[in-house]
Amino acid sequence: MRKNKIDRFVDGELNIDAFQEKESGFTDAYQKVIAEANSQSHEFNPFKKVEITRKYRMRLAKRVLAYAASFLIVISVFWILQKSRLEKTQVVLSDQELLEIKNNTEMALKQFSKELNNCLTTFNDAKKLSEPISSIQSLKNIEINKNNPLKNIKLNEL
Amino acid sequence: MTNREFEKFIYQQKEKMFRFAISILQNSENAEDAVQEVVLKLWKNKRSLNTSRNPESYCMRTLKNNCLDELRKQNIRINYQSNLQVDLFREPEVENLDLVEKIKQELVKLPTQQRMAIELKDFLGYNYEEISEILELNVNAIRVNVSRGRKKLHEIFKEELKDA
Repeated sequence: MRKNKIDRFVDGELNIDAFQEKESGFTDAYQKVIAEANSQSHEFNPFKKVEITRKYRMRLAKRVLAYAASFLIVISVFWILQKSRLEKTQVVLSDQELLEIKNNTEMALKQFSKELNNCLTTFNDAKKLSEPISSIQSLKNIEINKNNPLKNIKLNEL
Repeated sequence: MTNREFEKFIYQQKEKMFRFAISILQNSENAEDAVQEVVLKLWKNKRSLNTSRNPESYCMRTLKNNCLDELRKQNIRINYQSNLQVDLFREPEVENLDLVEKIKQELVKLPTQQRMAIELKDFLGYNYEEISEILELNVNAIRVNVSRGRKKLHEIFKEELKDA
């Protein structure tokens, strides 16, 4: 049996737009329902939640950056303090102080060599005159410090 | 898909999405919320939208899943509330309405699967293949749902004729 147009539509074989206006009471009413629904538009922002999430992510990123920055600051302050503490324990002499020490050392060495020369001259003279070493008064006058590297020199062996 | 392309795509689909959501959820506020939720999901997974064969179907399928989840939650809530309040809502008076209104009422009362199939086929103009992709059912099942839904709507017209 051949189906009519409405039956074919009901069976899902035809689309609603296959019907002309006033072709059938049912399809007319159905088309009105569809047209009514299609004419309605609803204004809303589909990206509302996206925007909220974006803002939240931005806030989170800023917060993480702030935490990272403060952590870095704390670490660098700690490192600077440690470094300055180490530097404080080391004695650093100025150029002027170094120059003074150098001059003093030179003067002391000159003085010492002068004394030593005197001593050796007296010792040679005494040797020429065949005097006993114990009688050489000038040698007795040499004050040799405990830390002086020349204190252990055996004058008899020179 | 760039952000601009994504926005353009969503603005193109916005109305369809809203109407499909409202046909399932029967509430404009919930439908709006569902569309926004799905847009957020798609925005987070733009890559999957790019790789899908048909982005429009993918979008509608995501919306359908989201709406069905929401419907399930609502049913749980309604069941809980109906236990507390038995006379929560009344059946609308069908007697005094014209045929267009009666069809609208019947559409709302259709089972969800039939309502979704009718909405996609007759109201949003998708073909059976696209609907099968969106509803994740085979084409025959979609045809059956469309046919059953249309039959129910046609019954109203027949009754109207009888009354006349």
